[in-house]
Amino acid sequence: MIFHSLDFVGFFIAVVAVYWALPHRAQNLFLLAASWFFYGYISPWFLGPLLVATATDFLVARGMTRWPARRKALLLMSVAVNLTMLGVFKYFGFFVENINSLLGAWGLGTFEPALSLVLPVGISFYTLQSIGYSVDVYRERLPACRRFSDYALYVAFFPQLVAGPIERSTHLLPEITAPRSITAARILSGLQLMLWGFFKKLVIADNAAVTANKIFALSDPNFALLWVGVFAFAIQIYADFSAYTDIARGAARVLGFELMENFRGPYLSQTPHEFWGRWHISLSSWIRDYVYIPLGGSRRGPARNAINLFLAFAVSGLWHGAQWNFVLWGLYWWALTIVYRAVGVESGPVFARPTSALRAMVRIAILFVLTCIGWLLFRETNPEYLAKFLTLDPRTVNWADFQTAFFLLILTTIYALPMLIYDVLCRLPAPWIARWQASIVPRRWIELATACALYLAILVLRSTTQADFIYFQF
Amino acid sequence: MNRRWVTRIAEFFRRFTCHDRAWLTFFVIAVLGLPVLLSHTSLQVPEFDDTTLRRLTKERPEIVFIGDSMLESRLDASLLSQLSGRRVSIIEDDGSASGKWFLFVKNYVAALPEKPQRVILFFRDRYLTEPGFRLGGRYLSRLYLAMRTDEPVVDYFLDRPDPGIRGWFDRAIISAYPVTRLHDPAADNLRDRAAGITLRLTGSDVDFDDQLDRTFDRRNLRPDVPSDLGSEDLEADAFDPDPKASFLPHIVESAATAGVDLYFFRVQRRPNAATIANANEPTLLQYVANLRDWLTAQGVGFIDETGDPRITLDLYGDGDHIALEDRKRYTRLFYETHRELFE
Repeated sequence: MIFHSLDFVGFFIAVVAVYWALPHRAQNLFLLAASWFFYGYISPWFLGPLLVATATDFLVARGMTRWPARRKALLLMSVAVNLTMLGVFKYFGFFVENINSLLGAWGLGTFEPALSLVLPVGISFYTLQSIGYSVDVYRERLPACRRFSDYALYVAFFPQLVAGPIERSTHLLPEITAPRSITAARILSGLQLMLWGFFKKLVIADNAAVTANKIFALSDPNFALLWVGVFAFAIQIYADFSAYTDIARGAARVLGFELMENFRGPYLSQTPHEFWGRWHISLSSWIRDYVYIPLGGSRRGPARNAINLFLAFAVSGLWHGAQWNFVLWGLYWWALTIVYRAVGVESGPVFARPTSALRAMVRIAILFVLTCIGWLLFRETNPEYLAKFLTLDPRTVNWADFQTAFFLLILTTIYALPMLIYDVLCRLPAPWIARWQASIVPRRWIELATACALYLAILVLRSTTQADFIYFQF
Repeated sequence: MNRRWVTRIAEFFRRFTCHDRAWLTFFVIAVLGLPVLLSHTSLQVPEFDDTTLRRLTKERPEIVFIGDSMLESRLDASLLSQLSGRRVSIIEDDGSASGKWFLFVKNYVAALPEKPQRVILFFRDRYLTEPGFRLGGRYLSRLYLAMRTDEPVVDYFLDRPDPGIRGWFDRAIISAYPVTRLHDPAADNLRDRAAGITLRLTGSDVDFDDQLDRTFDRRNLRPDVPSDLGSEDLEADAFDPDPKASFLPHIVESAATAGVDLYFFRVQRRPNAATIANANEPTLLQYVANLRDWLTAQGVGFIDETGDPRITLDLYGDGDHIALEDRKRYTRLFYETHRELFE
């Protein structure tokens, strides 16, 4: 079931109505049934891998408690089962394609795989969440979950099942096992967050997608047009993915849960390090905690640190998709991180003093341009086009081309303006903004006016060409 | 059991203070209700978009062409007028289908004070007898713009066979929120603003619509971009002239009532191997033959362009569209081939 559908609206209203009338234990069982229905609604067979991951990690964690001497073996089993599942469903085709390319290059012919698998939506998200749980139990950060239904709900919790945020067991499991309370303020805050998410998806992301898709459909765009297309994609992917997170967090909040933040104004970052602390936070922190730090992090000298970063970014890139452009995108961010560290650029306070403000703005602008180059690597899956696009000559752009590109840039910016203003006002670490926020009274009426405006805008300005959430494909 | 549920729900609401309950209720009602209120007060929501009707009244066409983007990509009205010496107008709507075409004939052509002599409707394959195609869902708000208050035929097909909860909900949303019909004017307004800002900053006057058409001309697209064959979802039904089965008999009736000669023009789909095979598929050939016979029996013209050797692959942009640069060439070809339509 997708969030921006009438099916989901009906489903969610029904779930909330029944859920809050139930006692705590029954709430969990009901939510589990609802979550499995939500997931199976897309395709019932998707439930198979989900149940395998759930049962494996539940049993592995219980086994670690019962047989402490075999903890490591059990952990390896959990990791192996999850990664095998991910590998089979997500990377099998990629593997075959590359083997075929190699065989073809050596003149040995190619082979047709007997398997042709559909990628179950959200498998990349819940396998990481499930592995994270096994590792946390192994590291004794939390005891193994006693009830299968609680653990199954942790893996399948419908608001975040399909596209995250990738929750931590230490955070979400206690919320599941403890009774939840609700207030009118929490319900309202959840509904507002959902509304904001729907606005970002239906108005900003889907309208930006029209421009981005049109430009990326051209066989020979000029330099100006291509980079406006990349800009539109930058807006689209941020609005689209953060919209999903907002709807997920809002829905969870209405149900009494608090999911982690996944985005904190990433385009306001000054350094790659800061960007990854603001973009898809749940994935980057997962990779940091379960890949980068176990590899040694920065504790074993600069050379080993660079290797560890390389592996972490390669994993991040490959996690996004079984294609080389995603790996390239991950490694591009690795290179940026290394260069920024070598140059010694650090994030500074924004608008604290005029000089630091100017410096910070320049850094934000530079990193945004570099981020856009990264989005080109991410968006363009065809290597020939990618090579062509990266070598486009800006001098070939004539005035009319420039005007057309500029028009599309302004149009995309107009749609994205509410999101950009929100980020500046709520995410920029500037003291004067914090003072201004504190001075807004009464906040309730502003929230009401904003909610009314968002709903009206969704009704009037939503794009007529709706697309799935981009991160569904991962 | 029911009482227990009611008690629990009541318990749930008792957790909130009276003030909380009132605010929550007011908040939800205000957010959901404001667009309804605005629809009936300050916002100028178009009930029936008479722009096309006013344009046609002014143009006083003798020949009117109706269709979707197939028509838009094929014919240049001013060139046709120039070639034929007749006043030619086009009513085109991208992504439209038989429901909208019926409304075009009934509410625009038949409503003209000075009726045209002839209407020619462009279509592909089975489009004329698939009443549900491009009718509901996201097409609904635009369909309403061509509808008068009382449209029993369209209502019948919107409800048929059973709109289900989803169809019912779609219509309820459109009815409850007439503001959704403001989508096109609002989107145009934002485009105008973007154009205004661009012109102010860059300083010279440009027709962006024209510029964008050129930039995104189908010929400039990558070869791997999916083509707009469009009708993959259409079922391979046999031809059925029952008025309860499609809009076609209603289109014919509306044109006859208005005293207008009606022609249906089946455009040739992209002539590549796959579509040629599809066009020669026996059930489709039978369908087209039955359609032709029925139309002929009704005194309606039928022209099938499929197989015309002069409409070659190089004329096409993406999918079944003719490339923008070749529209004039196609228009000339069309005029030369079908001069009788302009007599």
